[in-house]
Amino acid sequence: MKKKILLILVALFALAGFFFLRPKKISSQIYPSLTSASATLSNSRLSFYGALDVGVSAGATTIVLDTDGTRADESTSHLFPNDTVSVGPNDNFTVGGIIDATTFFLADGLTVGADTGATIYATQSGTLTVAVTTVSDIPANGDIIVTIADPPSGEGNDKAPDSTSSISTNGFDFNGITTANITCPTNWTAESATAGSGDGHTVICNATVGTTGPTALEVAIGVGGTGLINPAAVNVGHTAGVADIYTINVKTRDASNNTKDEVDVKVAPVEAVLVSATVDETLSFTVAGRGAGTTSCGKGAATGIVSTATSIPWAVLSSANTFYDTAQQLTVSTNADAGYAVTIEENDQMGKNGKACSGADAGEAVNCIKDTTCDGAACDEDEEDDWETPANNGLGISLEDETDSDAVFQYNVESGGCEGVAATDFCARQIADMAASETKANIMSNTAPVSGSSVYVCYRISISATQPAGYYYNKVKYTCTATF
Amino acid sequence: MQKVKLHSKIQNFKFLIVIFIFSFLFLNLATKATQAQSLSLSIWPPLLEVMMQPGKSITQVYKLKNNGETDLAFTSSIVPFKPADELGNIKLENSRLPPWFSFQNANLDLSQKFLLKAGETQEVVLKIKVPEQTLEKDYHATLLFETIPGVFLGQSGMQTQAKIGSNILLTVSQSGQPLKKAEIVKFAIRNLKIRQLPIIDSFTKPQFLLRIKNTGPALFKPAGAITASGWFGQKYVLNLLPENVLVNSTRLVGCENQIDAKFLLGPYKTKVEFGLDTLETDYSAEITFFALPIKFILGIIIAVVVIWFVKAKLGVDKRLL
Repeated sequence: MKKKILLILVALFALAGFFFLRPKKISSQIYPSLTSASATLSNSRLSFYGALDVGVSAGATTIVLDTDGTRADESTSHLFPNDTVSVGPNDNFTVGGIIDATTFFLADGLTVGADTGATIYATQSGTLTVAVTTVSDIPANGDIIVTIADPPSGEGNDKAPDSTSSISTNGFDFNGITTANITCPTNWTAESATAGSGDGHTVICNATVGTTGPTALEVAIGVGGTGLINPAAVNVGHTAGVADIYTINVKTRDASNNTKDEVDVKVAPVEAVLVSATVDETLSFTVAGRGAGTTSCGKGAATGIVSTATSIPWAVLSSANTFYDTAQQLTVSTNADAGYAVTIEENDQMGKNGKACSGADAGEAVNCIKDTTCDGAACDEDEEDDWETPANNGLGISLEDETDSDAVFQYNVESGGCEGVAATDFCARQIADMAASETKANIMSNTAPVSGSSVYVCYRISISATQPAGYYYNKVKYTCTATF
Repeated sequence: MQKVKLHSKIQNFKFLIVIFIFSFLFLNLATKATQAQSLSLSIWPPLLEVMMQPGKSITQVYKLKNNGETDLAFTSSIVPFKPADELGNIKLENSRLPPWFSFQNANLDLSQKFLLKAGETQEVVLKIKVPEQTLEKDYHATLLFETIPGVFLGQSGMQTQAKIGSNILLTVSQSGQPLKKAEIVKFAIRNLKIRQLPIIDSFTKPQFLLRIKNTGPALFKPAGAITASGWFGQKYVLNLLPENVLVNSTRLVGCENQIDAKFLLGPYKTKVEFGLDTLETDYSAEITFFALPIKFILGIIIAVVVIWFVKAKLGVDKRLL
């Protein structure tokens, strides 16, 4: 019994290992004929193909890439230490290391000089394994023909990777492959291996014995040390990390070359980005106080109230039904393509001695300064309204664009319930109250990169004459994140 | 006696000068430092996209910089998020993520407080380890660094804190090629001129509205273009922005460029075609819009009416004479 269980476990482990270790199959497009078709590259990394920015002399080790916008590779992001490169007439030199985005160095000095614009390439080659299951019978002397995407005439068998402006005209370099570098199915023989001239490299395996469908067949191209050379990225419209997809046509024929079954399968070489792609971007966020004498949202800071980067010190609110104003300045810079967003939240409403204020509208009756509901009793953390009557007590914020236009609303612009007709307007919102499970709202955002985009967050408070005396405080948090 | 008085005056004067210099330095320099105080943070990278097999782990270096003038205390956390809207903004959730995330720093753990001096950078090495048997799907989280406020006593006020976050889009997949499915929710023109009729003014560039929904189990980026073809063979290709569309969410997808024409006329057959992460035409939708010189025609009509009115007025005046 134990032996059986052990046997089953070993079998399962072997099966799992097979699926795990086997190189991943690239998406296949299955036509009505041949089934279970797949094409697998043992090395799916795109070749590197760039050019020399400035000519170099014999002995040079520092190589700078040309960045004129016409090359498949104009940065070193797809070149790694120990890669083998050719620089102009110098073949088989080892990359010693990467210096920066466009410069790398060689382990040894060049044998001869190379001119400006000379080609720099690093080939990536391997075996292409095509597997199909036939539907129709194939008689003796029938064959299977594999047609591989190739570059234009004259370039597809020069043992150097190729790059054109479009996937439809680009392809693999045949690298001098002969029938000795082809493995055909059992009882089949490699009949020919022909480099293409723009219409595809072809490999033919001949059936010495007929087969009946369905039969699984597998052809490996590029065995025996001479692999198929992967193309470099296309030099127009290629996105690093996104695969260029090439078509491999597989066809079975009878002895008179009549097609029996056919299928197109696809292979997708990509840069050597295996499982992780980091977007090389930064995000900077600054909170700053607004000093005495400054004006934000059309209001000067109240006397004696000078904000800092970490506090809004209301000090003593000595007059009832009077607005006290102050502000902070937020500044964001990011080169993230999708932009950024800043949200605001408060841990609770302002409570006497920091005590909890239960509910979203806890007021002076429970020793709290409530969040404003504005003049129309209609504003909240998501919706703005005019707030220009001091007798409508509470705490709220407004916004003003200092540079750019990233504020989600503005103190004097018509939006939501705000009229936005005068410079004296104060279009306000609440701050999302986390204790009341309110949702943090954006106060500042952009869907594109920004440099020094700045917004004033204008705080306003007003209390009634019956507000119990004491120290009231809470915590406000700004959260700045990049947009995904 | 007079000498003593003089000496005493000089001593007093010296004392006053010292007091003045001290006061000047204290009041001016100290005040300026307070007013210039800012809380400034940078994070790199702000977005990490990872695809991992169950049972594997990766590490990623993050850099947090204190660009401000004062030393700051921080704490860190990993918080799950979900899409907040169709623009790529996030909504942080209160739930917790599985304990797959940790710092590899020798002297700093995730959630541990640390001090970052003004102008200095803290590197943290985030390790993500996905256990075996993990459900193959997408996991979204934000690595947050939050300032810890100081003591705030003796007056009413609000303490402000800053949080800066980096989003992590993690896809767990055994094969490395999770199923990706999409649906075009809407493809239309935003700036229609006459109510809902597909007509725009010839002098206006059409603005396309493309909403794509992710109906599969893994995020994707649309790769494709909108192509507008006119009557006279004009063709305009607008490449779609490769924006992440998260699972069960819809994203407004914009274009990298605009139609490069100052005047459009006639019908334009417009087709959007895209693949999911690869430049294919797996998904497509088509609309037709008409570009007419509406403003120009209105201008002509107004001019004709004005001329007619002036002529009629002059005719009446002549008859009266």
